[in-house]
Amino acid sequence: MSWCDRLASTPAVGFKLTSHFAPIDFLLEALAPIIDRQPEEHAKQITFEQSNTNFSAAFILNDGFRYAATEAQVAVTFNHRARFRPQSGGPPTMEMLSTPTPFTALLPIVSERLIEATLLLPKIAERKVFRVGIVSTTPIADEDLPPGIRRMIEYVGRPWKGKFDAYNISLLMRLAEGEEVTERCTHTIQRPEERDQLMTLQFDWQRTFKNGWTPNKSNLERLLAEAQRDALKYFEDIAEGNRFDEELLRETVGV
Amino acid sequence: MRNSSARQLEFDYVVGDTQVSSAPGGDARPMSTSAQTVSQPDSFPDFTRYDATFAAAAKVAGKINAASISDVELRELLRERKRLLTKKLGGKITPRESNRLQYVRWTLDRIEDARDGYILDALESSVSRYEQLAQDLTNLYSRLGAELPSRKAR
Repeated sequence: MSWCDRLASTPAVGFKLTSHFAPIDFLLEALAPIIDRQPEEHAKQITFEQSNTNFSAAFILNDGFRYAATEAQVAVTFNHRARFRPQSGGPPTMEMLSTPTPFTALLPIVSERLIEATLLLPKIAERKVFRVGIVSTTPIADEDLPPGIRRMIEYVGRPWKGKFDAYNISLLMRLAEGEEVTERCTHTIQRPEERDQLMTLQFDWQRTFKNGWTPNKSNLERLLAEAQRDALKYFEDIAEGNRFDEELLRETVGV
Repeated sequence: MRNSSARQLEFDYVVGDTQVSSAPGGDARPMSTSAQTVSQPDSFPDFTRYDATFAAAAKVAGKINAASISDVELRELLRERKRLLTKKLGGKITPRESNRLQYVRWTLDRIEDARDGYILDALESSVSRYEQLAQDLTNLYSRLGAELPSRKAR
């Protein structure tokens, strides 16, 4: 189990591919089998998002899975979904449409859906996969922060003696670099000024390949399995917080 | 008194200006639509913009997940905490192990809160009600005290 499980983090998984400029109608038509197999009452509840370009499409299924595709990217995200139901003679109640599931259990489900969506994309046989990404998003109260992430925030805030009112920290860091592969992670931590609002943690782990992978099922499964393993390992490392321990840092730089 | 987890699970219906976006970066629109119909489902990936209802939903999900840990994993965490604590008490703990100990403790706290926190929250709720009752009785006593001399005077 990961800390992401205990804090109800939600996953997003995506690929970056060779660009192919298919108009939005083509994209939706390609992804139609996913929409088409939804039960009728659920299909009517699908939300299609307004697209900013003619080459991207996104929709959210009733059970909380969001599919998004552009000319160069495809991603599947899980979000909690809810609706308000009016009650006779009482206040409305909130009904969860999505099922609360641990992050580590959701990741393989989201990945499987991503593979299906990727293989449906227009001209997929002529394209290559150049990047795989795993994102963890967590709404969290200040007092629930994992110790390592708290240490990270304190580390960044030291010049100001940790007197934060609000912050929006975003760090895109290179984690590893080889001849064929580069790994990075975007760390985003936001805290609004209003005390009654939640913080948001987002860790976007990415592995980029110098030479693209042919997008067949077995390759995509392998890429995602390895990415899941390594991203989760990194997220645990962040939450444990050795990277932000000043004593350990002093040992590293020899000060 | 600070509200703990069970109180946070209650949905805040009083909030009148609840806004939610149907999509990231999309236009916000009122959560409640028609009194007659069930509202359209909404997704909420950006929690910073939402009210206590969404915080509550995330907390519910987190608690369900934390409470579902297997006994084997829980025993393993307890064993690890014991091992690290023994090292700490023996003065032989390294900085890495000390960080690990903090993390294991945090994990166990969350599991304990998810499994047993509701009992403490129920107790807290009872204490709040008794405190309120005591306050109400004090107010009543004061009002009676103020009324009695004036009635005697009549």
